Formats: sequence, structure tokens, C-alpha cells
Amino acid sequence: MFDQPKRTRRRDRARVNAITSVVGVSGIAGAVALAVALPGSTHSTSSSTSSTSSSTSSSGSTTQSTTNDSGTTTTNNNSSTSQAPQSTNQNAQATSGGS
Amino acid sequence: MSATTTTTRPAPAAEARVGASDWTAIGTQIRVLVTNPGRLAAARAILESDLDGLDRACSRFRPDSELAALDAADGRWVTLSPLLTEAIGVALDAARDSDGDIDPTVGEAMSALGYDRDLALVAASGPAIKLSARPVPGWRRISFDRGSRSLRMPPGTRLDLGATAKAWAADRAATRIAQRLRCGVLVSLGGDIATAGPAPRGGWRVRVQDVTGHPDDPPSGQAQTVALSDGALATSSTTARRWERGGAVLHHILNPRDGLPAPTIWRTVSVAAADCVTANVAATGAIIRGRAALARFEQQGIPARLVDLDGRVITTGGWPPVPSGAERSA
Repeated sequence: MFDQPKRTRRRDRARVNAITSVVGVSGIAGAVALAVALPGSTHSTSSSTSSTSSSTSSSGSTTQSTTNDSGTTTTNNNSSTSQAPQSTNQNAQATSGGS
Repeated sequence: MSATTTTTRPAPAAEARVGASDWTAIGTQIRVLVTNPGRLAAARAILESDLDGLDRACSRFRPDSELAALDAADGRWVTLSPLLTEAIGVALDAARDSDGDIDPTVGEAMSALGYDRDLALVAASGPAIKLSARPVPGWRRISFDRGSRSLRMPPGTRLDLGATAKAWAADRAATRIAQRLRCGVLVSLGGDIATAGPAPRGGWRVRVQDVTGHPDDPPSGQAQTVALSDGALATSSTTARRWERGGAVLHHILNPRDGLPAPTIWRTVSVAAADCVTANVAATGAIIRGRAALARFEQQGIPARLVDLDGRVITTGGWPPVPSGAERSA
């Protein structure tokens, strides 16, 4: 099992390339969302309360930033979703929180 | 960590093909799910045995634990059991990989803050205590040889493996259960979740929230249910394991650079990764790093969900956005 973190680290390092990163920091519901461009970013966006999305491409990678009306901002790099969970609206079988 | 107590609750009726068992051990809530309900009892037995061994080796609160015995070493070399060797090795790997954010030498600082026994026995509130900002001894001062199972620490150094031991145990148990019983399994140790073997159709459904609870109970704080097809998921939060001294709220995630509870920039951080140790180190490290963690998650494409002090949610690395009308505070 100790090989697993090493594999993950190698994969994570591989992900650190000259990609475009855009992250939005949303305000409270009903407020204007403010997008913050992180180092290396070539694109930033701001939106109102309705669901919006934008995308940009750099160095072969695509970053997509979405703000929805629940005040959540998601930045999605297309090379990084191998371990990402998926949405579901079914009842939970377990919980993960602080303990 | 504390002795095991059983409080088994029935699995939800809808989960006809997944067996579930819950109990309390090592000071937290345990849950095991298997895709073959006929293997549930065996899965639980494996996990209970694992946790018993973990408690005997790694508990900071059991006077008879192997970890507690290290306090008397007074700077001498000590030979460790294989289990404690692995647990300390994982903790030191985490310290190195997190650039010292996750440091196992916080034991004395944790005790000085009042967290010197099982949390259930720590008074929820009490008179003011004097807080001293000083760096913990530091993981680099530990001499450790995995091959010979040898350890030497500066006198007065006390280890706390709480940041990694549960996650490591979840990884270890999930792998062992899946291999022995040949079925899919999810192991949750206080919300540190590891899976192994084939997942049920649609994935393992996990609700992330501020504080771990039973899935049939209402969520605490901002919540979101996601499906996990493999790998692991861990959540760290400053809303859990809190106590109050002189009106000041203290929590269990310490910044090793000053030995004090990390300021709450993110109240809750959840991370998905290939294994639970990696996920938990990233999540706890983000609590300690604060805003700087967001840039790292973005740059490295780490699937994460961060909740700030005001309840705003930011997701990274392909973590699904919270749908409109999502679960909210109970």
C-alpha cells in the first residue's frame, strides 16, 4: 500500500505543467461573483447569480470555471479528474466530515 | 483513541445489496460497507481486529500503548513493533511530503491545549489557559530507521499520529478486507474513507459535511453527496474536536510552526485521492495552509471541496459543483 502515495505524487507532479488556472470566489447568494486569477492565469471572469461558465485553453490543457446560483464555484482542469467523485442525488451510504 | 463500544444500527432498507455495520472505536465512528452482505460479519471482524491493534500501538491516551511508552525513552533508541513502525513511517512521509504542515511531533502542544485524553473526556469548556506560540520539536529531529524498526527522539518530544493513523488504517483495512473476502468494501474511520474492490453500481455514495455522522442523520453544516468509484476521500474540519478555554475556541488541527490551532480560513476541506493517507494529508494541510492551499489544489488538479468560514464552497480538480437546492445545514 505504500506504493500508492508515491504513484499519486508522481501523477500530481505530472499535472503541474503550464496550465491555465482560473478560480472564482463567489459571494453570498444574490451577490456578484468575483473571479480571482491565480498565478499563470490568462483568463478571469465574473458573473451574476445565475449559472455561468467559461473556459480557456493554454498549453494543451483546458480549464473550465463555473459559478452556479447556489454560490459554488468550480474550476475543472481536464487533466485531473481521475480520482474526482461524481455528482449523485441518491441517499448517502456513508459520511465524511471532521471527527 | 479509546476502547471499542458497539452501537450497531441497521443498514438502510434500500441498500439490499450492500451490507453496513456501524460502531464506535478509537474515539470515533466506524462504518464498514460491503457489496456482499454475506461477508459483512467477516469484514467487521477484520476491521475490529485491525483497530484493536492500532489502538494498542498508536493511542496517545492509553497508558499501556506502545506510543505512550516512547515518552519514557528519554532520548534513547527504541525498537518498535512492525505496526508502530509502519504508522510512524507513514506520519514521517506525510511530514516530508507536506513540507512540515503535518508534523507528528505536535503531541506535547496538543496536550498543553487541554487535549490530553479521549475527546469524550475533555471538558467542553473550562477556565482560560496560557497559550504559548512556539514551534513543535519538528519531525526532522526524529531519527528513524524503518528497516531495523528503530526510533530515537529528543527528550520531551511526544508524538501524535492522529493526522495520519486513521487514514492509514482505513487504507490498510479496506485492502485487506477486499483481498480476503473478494468483494467491494468501504471503510470509514471517522469520515476517513478508503475503498477497495469493485464499487456498487453508481459508486459508493458519500455525503461530505462539517462533522462526520450517520448517513441517516441530518447533515451538519454545508453538505453534498458524491459518488466514489474507487480510491479514497477524507475530510478535515475545524468544526470537529473543539473545546473552549476561557471563552477561546480551540480545535485539534495545530500549525506545527507555532503549536496553536490553525486559524480558520477553511472550516472544512474534503479531498479525493487514490488513497486515504494522501487525501487526508491534503485536506488537513489545507486547513493549516489556509488560502495558499487553494492555489496548490488548482495547480495540481487535486479534486477538493473547500468550505470557508462563511459557508461558501469552492471546488477544484473536477470535484462536482454543488447543485442548486443542495443539502444545507440541519
